[in-house]
Amino acid sequence: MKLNKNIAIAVVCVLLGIMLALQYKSINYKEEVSSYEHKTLEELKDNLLIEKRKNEELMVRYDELQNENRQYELAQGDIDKNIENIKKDITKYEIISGLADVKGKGIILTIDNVEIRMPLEGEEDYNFKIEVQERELLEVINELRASDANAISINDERIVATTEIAEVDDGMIINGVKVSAPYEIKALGDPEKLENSLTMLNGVVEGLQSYQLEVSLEKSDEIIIPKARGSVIRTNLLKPANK
Amino acid sequence: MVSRNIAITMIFILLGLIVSMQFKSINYKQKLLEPKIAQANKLKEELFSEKDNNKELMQQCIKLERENLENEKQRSNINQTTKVLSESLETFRKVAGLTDVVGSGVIIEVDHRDGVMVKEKDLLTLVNVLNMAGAEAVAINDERIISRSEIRNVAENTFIVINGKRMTVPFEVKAIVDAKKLEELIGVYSETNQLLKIKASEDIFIPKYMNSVEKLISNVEVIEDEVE
Repeated sequence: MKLNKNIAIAVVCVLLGIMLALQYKSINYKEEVSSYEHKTLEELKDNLLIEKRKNEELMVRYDELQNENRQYELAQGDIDKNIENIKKDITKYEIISGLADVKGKGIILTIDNVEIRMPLEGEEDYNFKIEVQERELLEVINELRASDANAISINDERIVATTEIAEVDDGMIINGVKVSAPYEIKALGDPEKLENSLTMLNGVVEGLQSYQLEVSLEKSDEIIIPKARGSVIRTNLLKPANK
Repeated sequence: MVSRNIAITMIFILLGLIVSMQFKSINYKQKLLEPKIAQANKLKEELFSEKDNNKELMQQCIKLERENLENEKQRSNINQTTKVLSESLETFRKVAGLTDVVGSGVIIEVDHRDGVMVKEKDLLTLVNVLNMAGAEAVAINDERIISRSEIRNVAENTFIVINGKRMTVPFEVKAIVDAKKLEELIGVYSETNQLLKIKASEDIFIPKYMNSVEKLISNVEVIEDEVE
């Protein structure tokens, strides 16, 4: 009798111990799982956004390709129409590659170095120069591109895909040519949009001005941007790819 | 004797309480997760269907591109004028970055390192250095960098957007460029340097720019030469 009772008590105690352990574990698990589910939700939402954006872009591309396809059909048998279409396409690619003089609405952003003269008592004035940096010009160009500027030039050097901007003494080398301050940056696009993105809070213009550089921005209804000089374009390393 | 019975009774009561708490907590956990699991499943479904959509659209675009290529060949063979013009067209298309190309160059891997994160200025600088070395074609994670390509930070540096496409580290920057010239220049850019791993290769494939082209020419008018 006594033995059975003791065994019963022992069994109950063991069960109790197990229950306590399980309870503790389940509290931990619950927290871990709900945070995991939360992260997965965020990732899923992000991934969905990326796919939706891709979808929009693909739809536009698809429409464009269909349109091109239709042009061929419409020009069937009409030699002159075909020639006209080829010339239209050439114009398109000339613009994108920067190989055509272009004009249109846009903005002109001018940035200049600043010379500061500090008079010192009983000594010569202390002069120092604050100069525009290579990185700042790269950022301006980047911002313009992000705001859909379709042609850009700095001091009449057309900025194309292969354009380099190299800081040197007293200026920059752009497209292999030296240019100096003031830097006149022209961009074709929607003047409102371009002005807004350049002048927004913590934007490019604010950044330049925080360095004391002289910055001025004007919108214009007709800006002319020259094409890139022939020597700027290099393609001798490129070979057509066979898919 | 009595005290032992009381002890046993209390242990049983405790056991009962804990068992019922256990049941309650399992229930509660399920109730909490149910809506979240449902939401996650719904999102997963949407994601799969959107990915399928895109795959389908992609295929259709490729098919149309192939057709257009055929049409173009036929068009160029119409007469001598169309032949010459078409060759010119092909050249301009290549320069604009709208054709796939291969050549010798480098593959550069750019990643966060030692707590330093890759930012848009690092990629801008890198592309600039490649251009200084005479790069003729550049792509970042298979997005061709053309005259209109932006490289932008979003979401507090987590994502970078290029050609409207979101991407994140690691960035694979491919370039058709003189590897020796690049080596000479890259040392100067020690800031970006720590984030880089460079490998030269004879056979770099760089894809064409894939986005729509019409929007790249809006607001722009070509000034025709006086002499044709």
